[in-house]
Amino acid sequence: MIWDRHRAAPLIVLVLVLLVAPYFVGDPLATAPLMQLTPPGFAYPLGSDLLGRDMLARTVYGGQRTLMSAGAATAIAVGGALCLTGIVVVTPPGGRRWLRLLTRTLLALPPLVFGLIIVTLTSGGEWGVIAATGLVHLAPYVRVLDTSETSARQNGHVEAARALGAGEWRVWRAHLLPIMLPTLLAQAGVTFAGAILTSAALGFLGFGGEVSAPEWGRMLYDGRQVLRVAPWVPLAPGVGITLLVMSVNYALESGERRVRRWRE
Amino acid sequence: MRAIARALIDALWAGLLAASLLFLALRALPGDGLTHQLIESGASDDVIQARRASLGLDQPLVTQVAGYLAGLARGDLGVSLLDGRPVRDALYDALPHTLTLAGLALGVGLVGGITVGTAAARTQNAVRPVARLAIAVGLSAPTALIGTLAIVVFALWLDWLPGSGAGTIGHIVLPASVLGWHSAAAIGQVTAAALHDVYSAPYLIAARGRGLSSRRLLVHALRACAPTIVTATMLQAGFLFGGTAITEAIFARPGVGRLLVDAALRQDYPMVQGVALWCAGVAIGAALIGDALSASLDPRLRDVE
Amino acid sequence: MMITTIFKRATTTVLLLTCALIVSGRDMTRAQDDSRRIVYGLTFQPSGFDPHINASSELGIPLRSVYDTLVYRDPVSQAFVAGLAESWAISEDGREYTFTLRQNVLFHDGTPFNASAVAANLDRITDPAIASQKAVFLLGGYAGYSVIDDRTIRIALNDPYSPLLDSLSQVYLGMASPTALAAYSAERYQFYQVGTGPFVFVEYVPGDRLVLRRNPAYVWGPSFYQPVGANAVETIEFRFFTDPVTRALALESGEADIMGELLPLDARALNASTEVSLQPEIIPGQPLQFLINSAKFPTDELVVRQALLVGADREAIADSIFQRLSPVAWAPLSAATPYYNADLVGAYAFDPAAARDALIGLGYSDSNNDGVLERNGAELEIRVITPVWNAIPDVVQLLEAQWRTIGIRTVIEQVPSRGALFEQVAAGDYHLVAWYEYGSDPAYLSRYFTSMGDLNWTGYSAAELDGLLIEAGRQSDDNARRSLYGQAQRIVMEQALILPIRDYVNLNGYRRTLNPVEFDAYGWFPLLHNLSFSTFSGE
Repeated sequence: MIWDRHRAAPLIVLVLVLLVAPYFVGDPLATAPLMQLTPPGFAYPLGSDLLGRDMLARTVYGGQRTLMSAGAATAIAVGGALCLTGIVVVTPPGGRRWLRLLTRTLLALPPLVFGLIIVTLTSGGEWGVIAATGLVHLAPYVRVLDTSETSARQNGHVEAARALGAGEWRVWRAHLLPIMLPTLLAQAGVTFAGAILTSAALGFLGFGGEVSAPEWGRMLYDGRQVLRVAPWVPLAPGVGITLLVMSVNYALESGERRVRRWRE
Repeated sequence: MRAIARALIDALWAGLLAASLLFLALRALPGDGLTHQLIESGASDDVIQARRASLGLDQPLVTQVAGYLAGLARGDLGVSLLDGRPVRDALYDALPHTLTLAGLALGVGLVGGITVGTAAARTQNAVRPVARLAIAVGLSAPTALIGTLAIVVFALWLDWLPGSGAGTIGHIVLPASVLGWHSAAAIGQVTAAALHDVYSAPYLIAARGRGLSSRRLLVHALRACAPTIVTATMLQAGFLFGGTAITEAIFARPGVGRLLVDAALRQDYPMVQGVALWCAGVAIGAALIGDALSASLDPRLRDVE
Repeated sequence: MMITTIFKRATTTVLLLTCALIVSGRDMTRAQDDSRRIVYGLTFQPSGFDPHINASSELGIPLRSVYDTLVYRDPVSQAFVAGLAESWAISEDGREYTFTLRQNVLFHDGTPFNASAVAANLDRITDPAIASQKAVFLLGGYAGYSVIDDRTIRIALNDPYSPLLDSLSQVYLGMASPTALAAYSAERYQFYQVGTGPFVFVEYVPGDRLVLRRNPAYVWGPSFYQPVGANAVETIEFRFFTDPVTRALALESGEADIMGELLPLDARALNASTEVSLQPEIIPGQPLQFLINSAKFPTDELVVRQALLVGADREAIADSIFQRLSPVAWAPLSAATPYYNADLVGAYAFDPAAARDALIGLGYSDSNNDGVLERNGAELEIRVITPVWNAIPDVVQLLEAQWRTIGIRTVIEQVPSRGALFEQVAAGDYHLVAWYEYGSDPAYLSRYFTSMGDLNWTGYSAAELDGLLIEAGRQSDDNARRSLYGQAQRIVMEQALILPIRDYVNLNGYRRTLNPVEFDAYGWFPLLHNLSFSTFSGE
């Protein structure tokens, strides 16, 4: 267990709240033009937006959606990176150089262009954004995987196993993976935090599912339109994103510290 | 030197691959800006075919890619599908804005990052949690939120600085600070971690034992962290000089990021390609410079040669 | 040693970069010296700025004052007054328009204006290769021209087309210098535009700025152009404020002196400002509307289309989204448009119960209790093509909620650009599409509501409506046209072919250092010639 329970507590609490809260709030889509831009108060704890929708309900549903899509995007990034590396492991040595070149290329492309291309190819929707987010974070993950694998190979018992004639695949699974695991998990956390921000940025630019959907990035964009009169509208999703990413980073820091101690 | 040459060749390969990949990916998208515009005006098929042909859009993909790469070698980035404007000219017009903003933001990020990183790692009193919070928020808050809040507070409520546009020094303060905060947080985090490691290294403990003042100790430690800080800074430079679409949009500033988003929305592919290549070039170049700089700053590497 | 070299090189790079920064800093101090310069905020970057080719109303804001037109429309009386043509005569059969041109008019590049210049412009506009999006359509049944002499040109039509004068008064048919047209290719000309108007085109940098400077030689303006005073605005820099949030901020901070398309909430807040004045301008033309596809189930049934109208609470939309700054629309034309049929006000007032009853009367019922009505297993679902501009997504979201209560399910299909919208419409899989255009003469209605109209996205085709709209285009008598367009509007509403939402009001604001801004007969375009400072001290 590399997680420090105390440092991970804020994240766990936040995730639990976001998972459970939708059962206690109203309909995030219900409009009430007469109640538009109500300040936070008894009827609307976080106020209401231009169309009179409950910001609390929207923020909570939006959070759940964000968790889901950032999680899916992380799965794509991590899964994709593992597959690519796996292919390289079982193919001739030249493959690795190509993988590094490809990684370097993808890392150099502006994430926004990369994201926009994929979003357009998949014609927009929620899954398009998830795919784009996942692929944007694929290359950084491949790089970390590559670096940590290279350093793990220098480990004594890995070399020993190879000397004893263990196959590439077996070395990888039985010897390298256990050494790399903590780093890979920590990097998955980094990817998750990055995915939250990337999908919010794409939503802010107008991509990501139906127009009415409670999506934090889009809510932030819509909220800016009423900024002058109702600053609470952009604040709710904005603070939501910040808190979620902060709590992921906070939990990660403890993870890193553990990894370090465990290595020493 | 051989390592540098190798890195350069790799970078060239990456650039070439990026150019081809982009070209193919963009051409795989349905429709293009020119055809859309012509369909909208009710142009006949003949006119559409002729206009597409004049831009070489009717040729096989392989020919198009080859032509594009050949153009690149001559420094020709092609022309906009919509207004025939050379992509190079468009970039040239947008670059000054982006360079100014990115340069200032990077300055803010470097100075702020080292300060806040040192504060987070070495101070004892109330400064430390504040510095840590600043780093945590800077890393976690979307630019859209920070930018929006900055406009509300400094432009709307306090009325100190203009919240939009470009033209005077005053206009650049808010966007550069907003961008700079994010970079400062990233650089600060790395600085803090590196300082933490350095202070537990044997030679520094020994130096402390010799009774070096804490100020001189810090200078030593920072010097030891320099390669790490440089790498982190150049990573930020790679982001910033590639244009920052959201910041430019929020503050109504022209620049490379705006150019890119506008071109993408209008499906003006040569423009998207040209701008994206600039971004890729900047990212690759910044990484190269970062490697070279940190190599020259790292005493261990220096000893090897 | 090598490391030192690398380090030196890196330092050089950094130095070069710094130099680049300093060079770029140059533009920060650029042209702050001109005290009679103002900044005019444009709201989006059109895909092109050539009035002969492109259709955007945004392009006319600067270019209306770069070009003169053969005739002008007086903004107050709406009457046609002399422009580059001193006088004109229309033949008895309405097929020939003869223009006598003003003499001693020079283009900004020194080219004299004459009949062959007009001819060159007509040739360009009607050239299929330039693919004009608007100008060529304004010419109606154009057949050709004949140059009678240096100062006389005759335009011939295949059919009588009474809107021709109105068309010729629009910036899209502005007269450009034949020398400049010949010097640049069709897509490059937009960067080097040359007209005869009160302002000279200085430069256009896409995404950044478009600059105009007053033409000192200009003495041939229409009657409503005021004499140029000492406090007149000299240079105008147009900048793009694409993000609506930045517009009011820019006005307040003095970053922009004039700005259109303010957000309704911001406009309300600016009402209290001592530095900025609000100037709402009603735009003649079609209101913000949805065209309803009458050729596709379920909106192929009149009752369903009518239920959509009756089930829409337009008052609530105008109140909440548009902050009561623009009136509810009732007809295919906005109330500021000539020939508007005021009898239609109040038609299809909001009555959700009646809407639902009508649908149930048609045989629809919610047999599976999912809240959506169905008939023979087919659900009452409509697909709405929703462009992302002008608060349309907000409008559609409220409509969606209102229609949900009467048992209609709405699928919102967002489109990011005009190109994408045309693509979706061409695919045919839609029930409603938000689309509207502007103009003082309702001639464009025939593009939308006749069976052969190129924008007949409602799919409606009936001989009666065709006849009315075609005859209205041929008639030159004002009362006859009023009656024909009045009947046509009534039929469009009886058939529920559109869902009008609100009359289009451009919420302009200007800083009080300026005198109030005047707009031309089309509402969008400011009379830049008359722009002057209220507080100019000559410093």
